[in-house]
Amino acid sequence: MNTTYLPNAIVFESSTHLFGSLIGLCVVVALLVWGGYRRGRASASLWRTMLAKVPSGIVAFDTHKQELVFANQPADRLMKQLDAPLMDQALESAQLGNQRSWMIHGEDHLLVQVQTVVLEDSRNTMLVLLQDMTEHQTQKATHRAFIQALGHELQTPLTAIQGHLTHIAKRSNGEMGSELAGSLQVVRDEIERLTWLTPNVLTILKLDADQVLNRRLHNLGVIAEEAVQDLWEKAAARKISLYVEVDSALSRVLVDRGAWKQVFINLIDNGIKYGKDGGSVKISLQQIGDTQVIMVTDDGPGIASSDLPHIFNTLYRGERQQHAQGSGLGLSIVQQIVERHNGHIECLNNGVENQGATFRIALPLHG
Amino acid sequence: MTHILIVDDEPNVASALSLLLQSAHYVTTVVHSGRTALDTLATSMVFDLVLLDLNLGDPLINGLMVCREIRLRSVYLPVIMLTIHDSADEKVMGLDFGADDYITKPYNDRELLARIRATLRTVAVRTLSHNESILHIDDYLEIDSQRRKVYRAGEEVELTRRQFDLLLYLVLNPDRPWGRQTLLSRVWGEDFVGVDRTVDRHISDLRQKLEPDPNNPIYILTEHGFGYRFRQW
Repeated sequence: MNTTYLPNAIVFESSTHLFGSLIGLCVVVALLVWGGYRRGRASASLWRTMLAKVPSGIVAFDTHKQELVFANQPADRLMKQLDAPLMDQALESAQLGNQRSWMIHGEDHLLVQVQTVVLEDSRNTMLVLLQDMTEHQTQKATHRAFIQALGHELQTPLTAIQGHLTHIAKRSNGEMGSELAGSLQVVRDEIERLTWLTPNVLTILKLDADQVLNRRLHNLGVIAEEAVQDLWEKAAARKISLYVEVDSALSRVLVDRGAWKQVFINLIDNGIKYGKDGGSVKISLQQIGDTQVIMVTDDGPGIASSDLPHIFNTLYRGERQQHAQGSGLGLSIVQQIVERHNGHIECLNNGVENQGATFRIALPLHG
Repeated sequence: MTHILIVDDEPNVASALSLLLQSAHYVTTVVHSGRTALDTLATSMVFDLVLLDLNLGDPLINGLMVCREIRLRSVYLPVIMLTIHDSADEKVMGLDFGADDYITKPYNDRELLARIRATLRTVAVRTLSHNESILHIDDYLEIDSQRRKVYRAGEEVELTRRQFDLLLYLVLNPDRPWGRQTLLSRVWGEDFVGVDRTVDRHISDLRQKLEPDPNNPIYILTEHGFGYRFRQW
């Protein structure tokens, strides 16, 4: 909650980030003008003229007389189109005595964000700010549709190429010359890399687009095991064992299932990539008080101390990546997902040298 | 021969799927639209399973609608949905519309084939008559999924309800490693508060009752540090 103390003891609390900087500016202007008027620094006609120039809707209600005192032009326009009368809802909010914010629908898909502002030293007056969010919503919907279409357009050819390459490899049955077989393997490896990259790029786009996480109660142990199941063959190809240890007291947590599957996939994949052939990657989940602690430990070379501070930066390729393929995207995505769930991730080396690295996530149960 | 209908509007993906399934000895028919899929199904009863792309490039008849239509048929026809990665809501919707399973593209060959086998077996267990519901693992071990009985070398073995459920889950999803937490949630249910040892104890009991040598199991294999796998059958 941001609390800004304004002149004349007007308190404005914003409980939502949906209001952008423009509306924030309008709020400040409106409150300053209103405050100035009430202290007698501006005449009635002047403050009305000033508030009329503010591009967002501003309404003042007298909560005692239950009537509208003032509405500027944008507010007038928006109120005419609303499905439900604004005053009823605003007065109801006033009775509760706190700042509130909510959405109201109107004609032609109109969507308006309403924010009430309680004036500390004037209990009978309530300011209501209205912001037309219709275009913002449409833009968000378009952006979501674009990401979805992009996902389809990228993953469809990958699916076809991968399927047909597997068929070629299977049908050639060792009869292909070593040169051609080598080239085919290069193509397959690169396609696999693209196949890994695509969902990660889509996740980054979704996180950037500020898409709402689909948080439900899930057992993280089950999600971790699914990721292990997906990576089992890849690990087995290098004789790497995957161990999962789950605390018996683990509660279910509110998480976005798809996003956390990606967290585990990326961390375990990272462990396999840098781990020793014939070694192991250990995943452990524990509950310590109100926090779930998730650790993914590999037995690779560890991380150079110069790389440690940057390991979660997008596109950072450290010394570790010289030994294996890496895009520098995976860990950054993990960090973004963990932080969007109010968790924290850190990376530590297990020993001084060559004893592997551990990624440790702390996720608050009620975050 | 098991006959699979592949419904995908992308010809190159459909042909890749078809080649894979044919190499696994399935008979395939490929169609590229929901309308053709429904027409094909209306005139032919030969299919044992439908592999259905969710996004068929036609807003009027997408995979969900085809799935809903298939569920209205009198004979149960299993459906596996193919979806693009990470559309979690779509997966849930697909299952709500009656799909038996879903798999994400790009798919893993082995996993897709394993899911098809598991779906065919699960549906068989659900729909076949008593006489046909016997899962013949080998000459030593047989499971009657409908009467919930297990036979070891022809002799009936008494299992508890949970032991049977756990065994059936592993048998219907063979040759894949299953973690303990996943087994708890699939067999005991999401709300069950259990510990890994619960699974271990049931597995140990099952081995005592079923394995020729419980100390050297040949059916339920241990994936050290992770869980268990029922051998391919």
